[in-house]
Amino acid sequence: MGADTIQALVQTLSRDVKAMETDDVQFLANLHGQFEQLSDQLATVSLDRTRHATQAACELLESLILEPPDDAQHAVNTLQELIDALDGVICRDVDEAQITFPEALLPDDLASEPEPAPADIEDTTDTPDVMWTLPSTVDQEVIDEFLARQPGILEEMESVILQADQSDDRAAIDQMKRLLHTLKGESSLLGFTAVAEACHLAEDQLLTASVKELGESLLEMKDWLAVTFDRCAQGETLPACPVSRFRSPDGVKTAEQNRITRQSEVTGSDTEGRILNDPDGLIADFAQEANDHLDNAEDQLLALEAEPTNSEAINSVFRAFHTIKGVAGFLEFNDIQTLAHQAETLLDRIRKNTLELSSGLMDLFFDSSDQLKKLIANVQQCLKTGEPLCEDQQIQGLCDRLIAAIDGKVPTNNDSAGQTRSKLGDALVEKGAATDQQVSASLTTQADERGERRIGEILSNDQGVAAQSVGQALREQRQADAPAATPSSGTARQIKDIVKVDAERLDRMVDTIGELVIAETMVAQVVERLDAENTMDEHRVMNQLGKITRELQEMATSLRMVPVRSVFQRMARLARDVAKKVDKPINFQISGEETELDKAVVDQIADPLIHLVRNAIDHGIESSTEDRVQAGKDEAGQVHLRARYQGGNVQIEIEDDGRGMNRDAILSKAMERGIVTADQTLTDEQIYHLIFEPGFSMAQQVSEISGRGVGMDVVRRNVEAMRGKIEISTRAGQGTRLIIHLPLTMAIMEGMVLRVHHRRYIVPTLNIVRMFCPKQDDLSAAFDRYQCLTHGEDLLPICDLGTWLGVTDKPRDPTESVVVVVERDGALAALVADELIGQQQVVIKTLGATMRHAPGVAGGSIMPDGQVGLILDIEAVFRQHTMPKQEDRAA
Amino acid sequence: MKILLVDDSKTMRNIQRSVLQKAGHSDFEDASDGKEAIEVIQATKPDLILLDWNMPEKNGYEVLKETRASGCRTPIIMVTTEAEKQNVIKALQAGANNYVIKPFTPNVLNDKVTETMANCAA
Amino acid sequence: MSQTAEQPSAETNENLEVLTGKYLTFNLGEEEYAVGILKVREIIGVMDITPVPRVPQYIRGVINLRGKIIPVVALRSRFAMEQIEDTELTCIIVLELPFNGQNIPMGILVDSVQEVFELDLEHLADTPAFGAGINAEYLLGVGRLEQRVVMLLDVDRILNVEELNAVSQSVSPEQSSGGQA
Repeated sequence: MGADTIQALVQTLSRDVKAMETDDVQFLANLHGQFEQLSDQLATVSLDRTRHATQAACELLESLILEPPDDAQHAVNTLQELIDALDGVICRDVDEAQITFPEALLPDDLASEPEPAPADIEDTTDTPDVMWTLPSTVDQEVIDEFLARQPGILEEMESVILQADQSDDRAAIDQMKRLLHTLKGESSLLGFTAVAEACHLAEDQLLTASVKELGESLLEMKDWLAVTFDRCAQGETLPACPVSRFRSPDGVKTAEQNRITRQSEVTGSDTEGRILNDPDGLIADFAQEANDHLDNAEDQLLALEAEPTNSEAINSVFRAFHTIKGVAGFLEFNDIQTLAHQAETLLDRIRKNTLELSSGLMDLFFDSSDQLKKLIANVQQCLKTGEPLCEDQQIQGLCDRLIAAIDGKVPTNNDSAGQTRSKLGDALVEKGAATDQQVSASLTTQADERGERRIGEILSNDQGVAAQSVGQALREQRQADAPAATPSSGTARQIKDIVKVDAERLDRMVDTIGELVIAETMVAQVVERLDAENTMDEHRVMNQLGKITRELQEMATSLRMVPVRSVFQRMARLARDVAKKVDKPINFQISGEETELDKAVVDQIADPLIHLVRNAIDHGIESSTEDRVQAGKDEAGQVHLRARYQGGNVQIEIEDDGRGMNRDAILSKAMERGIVTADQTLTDEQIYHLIFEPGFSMAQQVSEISGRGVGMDVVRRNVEAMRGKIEISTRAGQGTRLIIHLPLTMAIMEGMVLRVHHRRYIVPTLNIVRMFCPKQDDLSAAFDRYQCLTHGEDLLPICDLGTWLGVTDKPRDPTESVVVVVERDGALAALVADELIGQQQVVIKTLGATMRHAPGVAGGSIMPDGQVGLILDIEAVFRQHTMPKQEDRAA
Repeated sequence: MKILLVDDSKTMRNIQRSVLQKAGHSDFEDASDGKEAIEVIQATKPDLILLDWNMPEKNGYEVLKETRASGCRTPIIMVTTEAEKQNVIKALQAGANNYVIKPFTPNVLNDKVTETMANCAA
Repeated sequence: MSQTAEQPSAETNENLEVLTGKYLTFNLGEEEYAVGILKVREIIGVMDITPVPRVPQYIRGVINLRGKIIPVVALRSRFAMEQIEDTELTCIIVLELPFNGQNIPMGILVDSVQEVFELDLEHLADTPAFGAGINAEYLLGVGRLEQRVVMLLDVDRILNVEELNAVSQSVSPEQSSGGQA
């Protein structure tokens, strides 16, 4: 019987295939059905080879229908051949083994695979630069924002690579892959084909190698990326990728030709910063609709909590995600589409009963719904404000979990099950929907089952608590928990809620708060003066005001505070590179990187640190490891970069255990360069500080690394511009420690207020060593001309502030004044003022563009009485008041 | 030519409408679930149906079968997503004339419409 | 004052057109000057001015304007007129001047402030060849108000910030006194 049917089938097929039109998909589908039927029939007679060929024909038809190839004719020919062969076997009784089935359908008959492309290609040094143009689908703004983001991303990349040496490489791989993946997607959309390709190849290689192994190549790639994006921003041509293993052998392929992995089912990752246009209201509609869908889905999910087999609910949720996915795809909201897609796929498995709905999965769906809502809210926001829509990768962790779940790795959720436990039970008891007994019984059951079922399920199924009550209680709880409930995602990153604020606005706000502080002080003074009686209320009120104002001020300063971490990590990378260049083994450590500084300071500290780190490695550490070992040190040079708070300031230290500084060598070099003369008496500290003088350089040869003695004086100037100072501590043969003292913020300074005549002047506390009232004995006149002050062992030049500032003609008698001893670079001087008013926090204001260069004055501040108090520039004091030299003795 | 848009997402229908309008079509009917779709087909006798797969009440497949079972030969284009590609063959065998995968570009949709109408005319 | 206004030709008419508008007038001694009202931020009575050491003489110092520190230029000094004591009429006119693409505030110290008036074409006369003791290049033009002659100041020029900056810088420390007993 079978034979007849089969024959009939073949004959029909024969006729149909001849009439085949590759355009008519319905026709093709019918053919497919026929071939399937045939295949089934062939199973009953043992014509295996034929059956295989037939099945292959089915697949061929499928691909014709679903992915029309360019050359459909080939497929048609194949099918024709098959039918002829079939005809032979079935209708003409030719032996199966003799028949040649078409090559395309039987793998054994296929020609052998082409040779795989050779793995390593010689590095071609002359790969030309590439010209890059803005793709037509992309706005310039999108590119700008992308480029602005890259430094941060590349920094992260580098940090991951450097960390891979020490910490768990597993986490590093994941993080690295994530970074590469995102970059790949974005760069391919933006026309950076070489970048996309390199990322893709790197990602591939990370499947089998570790970050540590690929370290060098990855660092090289990161550098190349930095240059590429930089050049792009400048409008120049882009360099070809120098890392051979991240370059395809036959020129640049487009990233679109890559295999589609599950995660990039939708076109890679996302365009950055898209401005949303919604002329037809489609986006607004979508957002509205999507939210409705998600609300509905949540309700259904809660119902599923109580009744996991409710197929109507499952379908409902599935449809919700499905619809959202579809429309999101249209409107090119890739994040939303990807997330919805993953959730939908997972739901599909559950729907088809290939996966069981467990409490862990429920959480995932709730999380997905929450996250989708957030993404949609984001879209609505951008639509409203006109800001560009930035799609960031905060969904990555969630997607990973979804994919893991789809693969059958279901997360157990014992922790949150525990949390939900007591809250839900309590909530239900409170509502009167369940009794204490029921709750504790359920808890016991849950413990017995080891968290297999959720407490809600147990309560409703076993204890007969009304499912609706349970659902409602769960929902309320979810709403209450909303911010806290998200379990930690798979990412190593902490997802902080960050708000982007225009830097200028922030500055203005900080300024205004500063002014508020001053105004408050003035008000306080006025209130003081008003009346002495009946001050209880006023005191209290003013105290309150004062407290609030101070709090505001602290918050304002903290707004601009960022950790030094990013700068320190740059140094780590630099140290590694320098160490390589000078070929010394170096152990570079950083600590205290979470220490926070004003953003402006962090930005400016980088350059000085670069010089100091280079110097430490290049000059500080001995060149030969034998010397080090002989001196009892480790072979590897120890260089330590640390930051810490000290008093009201921050200290950044670079310490090395190298040669230390040679006092005599420095002195002689300085004399050689004419920086000091033979007869000047200098303290050790002052001698060490000579290295900061312009034109000084300790290098015998100017090395490429350390430059031409330009480094150190720039360092000092930068540090002083930040109102900081440098301290040197060194021991020959043992090592050197450079400490940079910096104020916590640029805007506020600790200052000592002095009265000179009837005006107030402020000296930075940072520079003050001592204050006292001198006695006659302390005074002396050097060389009969210059007044000096003896102070301990030191002889200090005197600077009479009154005359120096041009306030009065006559200098004061120091014994009837207050003397403030200030220090800079190891040198000391004595300032003479009328009176010491007191120490206070001073809000620094510039004197305006016109007086930026007024000598002697570093800025101004508003005093509590409304007067302007000038802040003295200590450097100017020292410029004019060094101890006199030999030559000046004459005359 | 009257085109019936069947999809539970209003936005989706609007997108389809917008694309087809730009190609010159102006006569549209809507249905947002399977049950409604059947009713509208009977009531308005459209010339072409764009049919979504996943809908409440009745899904697209059911609509397709019922419609064909009732003798209606109206061309039907199945609208589907990547994941459901496998169902396409099933749909085609059940009587769908063509399919389109979303997200689709306007050109693709218009081409499919033209193609389908041409094939049915033959 | 014998210079009469020339009949404006078609060309100069355009230049003069630019000068019309509202002005604030003030006095330095006998003479009356004016600045475009758009540049005036506010007028405050004379207040305590904190001197800044070693800046050009015409920079009197700085003041606290609601928490912002702004410099004050003594116009008399700038125009090399003799110094006088402040009176109760002495005022500081706070102007906003362009610098580096922004507008920064700067104060000028004047003897007294008069009025705001609307300057029309008919009020305008060409800049006289002789200056009233000040450089003609500091003037935008001259106006006639009733019987008075009002000199329209080019404040951007007079208080050119870059110039002031450069001058401050050039006052080198060594030139100043101090440090020696």
